[in-house]
Amino acid sequence: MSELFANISPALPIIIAGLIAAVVPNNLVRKVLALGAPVVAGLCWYSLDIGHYGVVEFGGFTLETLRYDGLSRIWSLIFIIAAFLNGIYGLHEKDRVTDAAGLIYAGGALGAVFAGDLMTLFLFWEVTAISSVFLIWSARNKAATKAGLRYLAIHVLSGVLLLTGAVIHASETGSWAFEHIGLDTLGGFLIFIAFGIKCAFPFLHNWLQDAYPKATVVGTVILSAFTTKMAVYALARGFAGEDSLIYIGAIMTIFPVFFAVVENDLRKVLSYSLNNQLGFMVVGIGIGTELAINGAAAHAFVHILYKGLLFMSMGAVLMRVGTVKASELGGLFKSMPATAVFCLVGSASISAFPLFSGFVAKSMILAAVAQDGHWLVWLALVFASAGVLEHSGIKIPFFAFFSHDRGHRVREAPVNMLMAMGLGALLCIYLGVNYGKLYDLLPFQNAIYQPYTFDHVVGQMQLLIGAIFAFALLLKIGAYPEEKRSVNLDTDWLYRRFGDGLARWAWLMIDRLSAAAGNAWGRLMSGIGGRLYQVFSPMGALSRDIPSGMLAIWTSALLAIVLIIAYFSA
Amino acid sequence: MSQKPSKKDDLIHPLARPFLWLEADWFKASLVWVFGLLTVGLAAIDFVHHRHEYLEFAQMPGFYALFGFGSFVLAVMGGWFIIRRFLGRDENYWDGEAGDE
Repeated sequence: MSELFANISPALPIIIAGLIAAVVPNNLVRKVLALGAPVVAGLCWYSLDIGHYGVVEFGGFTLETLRYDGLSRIWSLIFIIAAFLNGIYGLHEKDRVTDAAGLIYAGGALGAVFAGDLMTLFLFWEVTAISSVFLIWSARNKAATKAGLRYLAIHVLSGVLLLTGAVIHASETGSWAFEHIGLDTLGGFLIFIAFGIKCAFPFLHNWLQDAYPKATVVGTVILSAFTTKMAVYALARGFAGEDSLIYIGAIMTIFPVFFAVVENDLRKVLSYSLNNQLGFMVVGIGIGTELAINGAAAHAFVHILYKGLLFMSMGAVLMRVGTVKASELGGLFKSMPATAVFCLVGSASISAFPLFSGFVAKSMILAAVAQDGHWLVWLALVFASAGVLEHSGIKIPFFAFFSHDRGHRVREAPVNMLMAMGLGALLCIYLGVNYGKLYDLLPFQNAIYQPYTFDHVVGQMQLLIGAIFAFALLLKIGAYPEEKRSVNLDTDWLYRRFGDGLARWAWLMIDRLSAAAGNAWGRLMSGIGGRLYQVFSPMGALSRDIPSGMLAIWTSALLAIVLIIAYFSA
Repeated sequence: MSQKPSKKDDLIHPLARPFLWLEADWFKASLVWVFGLLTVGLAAIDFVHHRHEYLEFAQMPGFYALFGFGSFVLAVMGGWFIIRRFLGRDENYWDGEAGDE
């Protein structure tokens, strides 16, 4: 049995299932594919031995499509589990686009995790970008369409930077291998920014809070699992131990806390929370020790589960009530008690209560930071831990299921949604109790960590109970901000208002200028065309150094055109 | 979609009925006392048991309880007085795109 699946990339069955789902009109067949493909991928994963497989010659490149080592092992497993849970969660939905896009997206993320070279990484990087946007567009409303275009533009930009950086990096180092890259070269810097966009670095983050809450109920759950964690994996592979990541990550943990406190859309609150959690992982990668990388990997693993669980619970609320605005919700535990319990499990896990999965993962990063002597960053992370409790541990369940009863009397979530949430909740508790199973998957088995010490349990309970006491006190004295229908400006203002206005003005000026200078412009373009031919043609200067430089440059140019079109369309 | 809002007891899920006391006034009023006492109790453990930490200042008795309380208040006040005051806008600011319904 195991030989049947030996050395087959787990990405393959999921992508193939997605392509089939795209053309199959029968809903039942698509649902069988949605559940069956992750199972087959799981069997492929189980049959793999540590090593390098799937080497393919393509367009002058040697693509390594299946690198299976300690790092890709844990990431690929959680992606497969997430794809399976998402498949269950979406069983009730009859939407061919979501079914197909969800599978291709999950397969693309798996392919990126297994990529042994930068060109393979780029190909799967783009597969995830293009397939995932359909999960946003599937909401089929004006806001989702516009947000999807903005999302696509930003993610294509990430792809352009990755490819350009990879070309330069390859020319500088003579290798396309996806190993440690570092920030010593221009190519490395561009790749770093490309990863940073997908990882939602500060000022590059707002695509996440813009797009995720506008996707479909199922789409948001799927989106929450893959893109950002794929980027975290890429950072762990290419930039482990990079000091700047420590500070970038620390900022990522802090600023979303303040936005989440006053955000009214609970799926947007979870998107800020996701940003905050990514910060912990980025700090771990920046520290770069074995314990820190283990912590980042463990945190990514459990985070996908509990964040997915929280998005699932809010998706169920959105489906039944028609809104996830905190100002419109409350008292839903009377109608959706099982969903409320699963949400509370997710909240306890993300808040890192003992016996829940977050407790055994996040503390590894904090310990690694403290061991490394970064006391200020450590304080930032402890502050952010209290912040996590505020927005994901208390605000989400409190305003949705408790607080003021708004009189919504709705049905409990569909059985398939409850099953997916139940399995997710079970895993959150199982990994929090039987943490050895999680630690066995970590890339560095020599970095031993013991989460359940008396000191750690007491310290963590002090932090959490002290924060809950603050919440209860602020609520009692009326010093907790009421939920109100509003939006908060973020960095998206720069391109949705300022940039948009600037671009429209510039476009108008260029239009007038080009009309006035018609013939001169034509001659200029002709001259530039000739120069470009001399540089980029098969006999051109760039093609001499890199066999496929022409292909890569043209791909960059085409992607840049797509980026510009998508930006102005939004 | 939501049914017509109603508070009739017969529409409450059977599994939720044993937990309706969660909405009782006595329960809500007691929360601040319960968590206050728990916080003090957990902090008091540090006076009888010396916690070992990588960073010396974190060994101060009640450090995490104080830091958790202070961080929570700072997060709430920061969000309220900075983000909402300076960056908060009407829900229809983005051409009415904020709706999820």
